[in-house]
Amino acid sequence: MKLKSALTAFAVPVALVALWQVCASTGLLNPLFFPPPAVLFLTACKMARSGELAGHLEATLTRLSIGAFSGSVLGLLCGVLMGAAAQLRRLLEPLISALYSSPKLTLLPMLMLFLGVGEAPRILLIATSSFVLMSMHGLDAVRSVNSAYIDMASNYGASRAMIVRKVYLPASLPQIFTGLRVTLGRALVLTVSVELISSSSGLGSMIWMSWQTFSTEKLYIGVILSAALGLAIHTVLRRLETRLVPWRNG
Amino acid sequence: WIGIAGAALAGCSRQKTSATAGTIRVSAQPYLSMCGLYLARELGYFAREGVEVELQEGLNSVQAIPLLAGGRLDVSFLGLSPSLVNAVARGALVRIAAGREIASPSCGEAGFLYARVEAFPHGLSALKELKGKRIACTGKASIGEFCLDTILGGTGLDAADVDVILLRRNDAVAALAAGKIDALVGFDFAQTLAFRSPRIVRHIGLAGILPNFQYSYVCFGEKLIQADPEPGARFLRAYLRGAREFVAGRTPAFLEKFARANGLDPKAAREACRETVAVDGAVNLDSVQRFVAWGVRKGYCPRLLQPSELVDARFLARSAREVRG
Repeated sequence: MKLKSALTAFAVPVALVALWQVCASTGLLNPLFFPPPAVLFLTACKMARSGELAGHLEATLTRLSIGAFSGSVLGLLCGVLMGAAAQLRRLLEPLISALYSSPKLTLLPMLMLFLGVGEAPRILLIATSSFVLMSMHGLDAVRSVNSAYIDMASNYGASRAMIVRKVYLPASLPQIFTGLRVTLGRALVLTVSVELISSSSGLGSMIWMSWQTFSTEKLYIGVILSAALGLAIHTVLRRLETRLVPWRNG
Repeated sequence: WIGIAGAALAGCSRQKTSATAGTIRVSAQPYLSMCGLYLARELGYFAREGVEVELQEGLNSVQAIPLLAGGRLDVSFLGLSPSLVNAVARGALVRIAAGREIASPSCGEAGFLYARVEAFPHGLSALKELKGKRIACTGKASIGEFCLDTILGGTGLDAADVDVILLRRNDAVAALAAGKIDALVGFDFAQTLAFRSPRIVRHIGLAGILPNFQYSYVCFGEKLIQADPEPGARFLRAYLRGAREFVAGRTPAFLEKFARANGLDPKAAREACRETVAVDGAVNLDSVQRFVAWGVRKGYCPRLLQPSELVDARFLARSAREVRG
């Protein structure tokens, strides 16, 4: 069953890759712009052996981990507290909503002016985006908790802290995981975008450099790796959710 | 999924977008150095040669080269880049047809080093003082990085001796003004408002190390290279006529509009030195060779191409013959 499920999931991508290989090999696709997948594979192996791929992946994962983790944790905490305390929500929600709607990349030049031109502005930008998204999701998750549960816990003498720990958090977990998937996906997009415009390391920088030097193989490898990273994040979160929120899928 | 794949195939087939026989699709980044092209258009030189120019503005070198290689552009006015060299090395039908701008010792803004006065308390008298400083470059694998390496090389330093920060042009200007970097290297910064501050000084430029280095060119794509040289020659003839008139003192309406739209002083722009433009279109092969060698050293280019592989001299020769005749 699992094998059949895996085969189904991979059938379309494999078919597309096979079609691409045939078209590039027969000249239907211009290999200048659509190098055959076999050539991409060989180039990727060469880059892996030289350590180039590992270096770029490490840089992207480092920025993503630090920025997304710190932003998500703080954002979730803020969202849960906003959900539990109406006054705090009234205070912070307008600011967070405004930040939510604005394109985060536009903040980068300003952050560079304040923090200089190193890693700090990049990581802070990723953290800010993650914070805003997780706050919104955390807030919505808490507000969607059935008030009957809260009333019942309160009636049984649960303290505010206990209600947050034993009622709000477990009941919000499904939505929190949804928020995490969206947040980490967006954080990856933002990380690669930041690297495209102002870094000399990372997948975004690799993609930019390959564009600058007309190295179309490396361009595709960078894009495919970014997509694969996104898929990996999504898969890990799904597995984690299955363990921590077993009741979600019935 | 099959529909998407089919659409991608159709879009990426070897068939080019249509262009009439007399239409030449040209890309150029609108800037003061492009005045020769705009003047030629305004004075009707292209029309007189029977060439209809379809101008696409705003594409930089890196964006234009794939379009030239894919037959979606016929001419591009662009700077030297590893992208151009690699496209030729990979078999793309893109060639340099004429030379354009040079780093003139007497004028121009090619590849100058601008430094913050505070970063060099005793003044930047010796370039060796750049060691350990933060210097912005507007892009890796670009003519900007070439200029930086050339300037550093002239002092016995190399990129490892300084802290090279990659920043886009406007970010670099802001960072220098805010003191986040110590210096930057680039083109055409003198007109920028922030650079009129006494806290920022201009030091050496590319011309100080490589006088008359030719850094930008007119490149032709597949359609012109594969066809009879006549349409390409006519295009060059018209453009060079405009370039000669511009250097001689005639000013296109484009210059005023551009200056106003970009916050530049129109009078200063009109009176700026014009002798950086090569009016005969001759290609400086030494400059091309030097740049390719740099690209190979930095690992941006796979092999040392000969200038003859990058340059197609037929068009210039034909256009010059017609002028003399």
